[in-house]
Amino acid sequence: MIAHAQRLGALLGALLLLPAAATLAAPRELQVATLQMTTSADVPEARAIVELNDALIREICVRIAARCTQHPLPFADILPGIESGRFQLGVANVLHTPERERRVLFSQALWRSSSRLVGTTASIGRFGGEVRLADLRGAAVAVVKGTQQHRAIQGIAQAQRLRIVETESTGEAMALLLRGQTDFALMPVRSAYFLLQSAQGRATFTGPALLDSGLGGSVHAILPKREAQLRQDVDAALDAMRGDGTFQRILRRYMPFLAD
Amino acid sequence: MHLRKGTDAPRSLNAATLFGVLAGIFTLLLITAIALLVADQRKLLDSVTQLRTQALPTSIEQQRLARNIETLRLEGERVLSASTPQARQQAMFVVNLMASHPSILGNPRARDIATETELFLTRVTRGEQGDSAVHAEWAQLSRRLSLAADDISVEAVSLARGEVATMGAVIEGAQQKLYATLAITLVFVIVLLLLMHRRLILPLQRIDATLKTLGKTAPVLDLPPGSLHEIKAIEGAIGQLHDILQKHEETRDELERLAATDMLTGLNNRREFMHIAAGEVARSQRYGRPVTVGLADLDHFKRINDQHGHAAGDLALRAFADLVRSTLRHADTAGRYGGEEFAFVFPETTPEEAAVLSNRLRSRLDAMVIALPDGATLRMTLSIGIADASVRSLEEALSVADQALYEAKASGRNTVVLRPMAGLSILPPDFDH
Repeated sequence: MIAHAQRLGALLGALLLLPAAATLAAPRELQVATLQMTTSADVPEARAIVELNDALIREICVRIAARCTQHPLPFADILPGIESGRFQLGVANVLHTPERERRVLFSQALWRSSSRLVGTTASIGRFGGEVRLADLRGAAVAVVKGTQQHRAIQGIAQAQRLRIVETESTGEAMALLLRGQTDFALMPVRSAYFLLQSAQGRATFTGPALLDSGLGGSVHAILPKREAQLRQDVDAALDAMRGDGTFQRILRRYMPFLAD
Repeated sequence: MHLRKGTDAPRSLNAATLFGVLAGIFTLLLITAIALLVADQRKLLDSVTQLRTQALPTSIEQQRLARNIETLRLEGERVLSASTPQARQQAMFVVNLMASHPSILGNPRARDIATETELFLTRVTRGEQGDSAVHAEWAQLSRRLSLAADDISVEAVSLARGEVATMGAVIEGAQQKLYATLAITLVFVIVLLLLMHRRLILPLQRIDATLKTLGKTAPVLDLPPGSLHEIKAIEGAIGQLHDILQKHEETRDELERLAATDMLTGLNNRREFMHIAAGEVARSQRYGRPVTVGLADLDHFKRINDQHGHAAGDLALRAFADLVRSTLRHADTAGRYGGEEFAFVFPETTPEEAAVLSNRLRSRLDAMVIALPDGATLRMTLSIGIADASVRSLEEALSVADQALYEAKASGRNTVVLRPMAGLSILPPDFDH
């Protein structure tokens, strides 16, 4: 009788512990915001921009034992989405700025980037050859909405009589440039590199690289303010990825060089 | 107090003060050493932090910068050597990207040469550069790019190496301080042990040895004065105790002497005489040696008391006792047996030899004139009975001597009567001639 009671007690205990064990074993669910790919940029080189981010996200999620669901979004929606907590992680070539630091958490730097004007041969010639943003007057400039490039152009547009053409993605900005709907596009050099591959010589960089006014700096993954522990986990995963060469191999898969 | 206590004895120290001062000095040294070690540890931690947060990241950045410059140079080579316009354009994009990289833009030397390279290559791709000058200028640019990459790489290594060298120096310093701390501790322990041995253990051992002999008669307590106040106090107490014991010893000796001595004559009293005589008789009988006892009585002593008073009688008894002490041998024992009666024991002496000695005493008393304080004089005679004690007990021998004394009295006094084992022998007055 006593033995039966002991067995029954053990069974009940095991049943009670099962949910807890299941909770411990289950991977955490993460909603990850990433850059949206536009149809016009649907060429292998252009896809590399988002594929690079996708590869990084997958590797990070494996390392932190998380089940990640990616949500491709326009850049402008990514910061608010992370800030609100709708997404727990954002990998979207986000430059670090003090203003953004107040809104979201930043992971360790992924790489560094600057911005540069891209123009067609015709537009560059029309505006007098080598064009500098500070000297540009009366031109139409395409920028991705919500980016640092957008903010920088907004700051000088009135004084320099610049017309801002807002886009959802860098691919869209390049497409508008190639179609002659804008004179220039201001975008991160790394994104421009991928897009120029498919431009077949019709567009090129012009003017010097820009770092000031938040146009250059380090690029990070971002997280909601309350996800401090997750940030630690992501940073640890990135350290491990750099330590065993995975990070470098992912970058080299999409670029023939390392420029982190 | 018999404790040896020189006036030039060193001033005593309080043990608590001495060890307190030592402990204080040691603690001060130890705290200083620990503080120095803590400072070194802080320096080390600062260096580690510096290495981790600045030197290493900067070194890594510098290495990346060097790599980016080298990539720029290699892509420049690709621009010049490209076989198709597309390949040249693609290489040129990489050159653009590298020249725009924040790491290169953040370093003035790298930025200048990267910008110069980008402009040169842009001119080349646009066909603005004359073919003859291209290779010469590129060779120069390429060399400058390589040198810049090498210099920056070396700077990166030096940066980390400098910080590591600083850490090494701090660790070495800390190690020396640690050794110094250990040496200080060792010296302190040795000094402490030596002091404890000299100031505590040795004095305590001396005190222990002294205490062991304290009960025995030691006229002077030989304790060198300790240098510690507490030890000195113990030694003082022991000295006092020793003095008390000595006094007790003297008092006891005096009491014993008083208990064994007849107060008037200074001779042994009857109890002490019996004690000594019993010992002598027993010893002689054990070794088969001769021993003789005698009993003497001052003749008509009552008349002296009656005619001259008890003081004169006492004077006469003391004079007789002095005569006994000066006449008998050192080994002989005399005692006041009672009133004017005296007893003797003569060890290693036959009755005949004892009779000679007794007769010498008798004749000297007979010749002695005692002057009284009032100017008068008096004379005394003595009757002595001698008996052999070598074959009988002391009591029996004394009884026999008493009988001989009786005989001496009966025969007219002032004579010595020897009662041998059988018979009686009355010695004439000139026996000692």
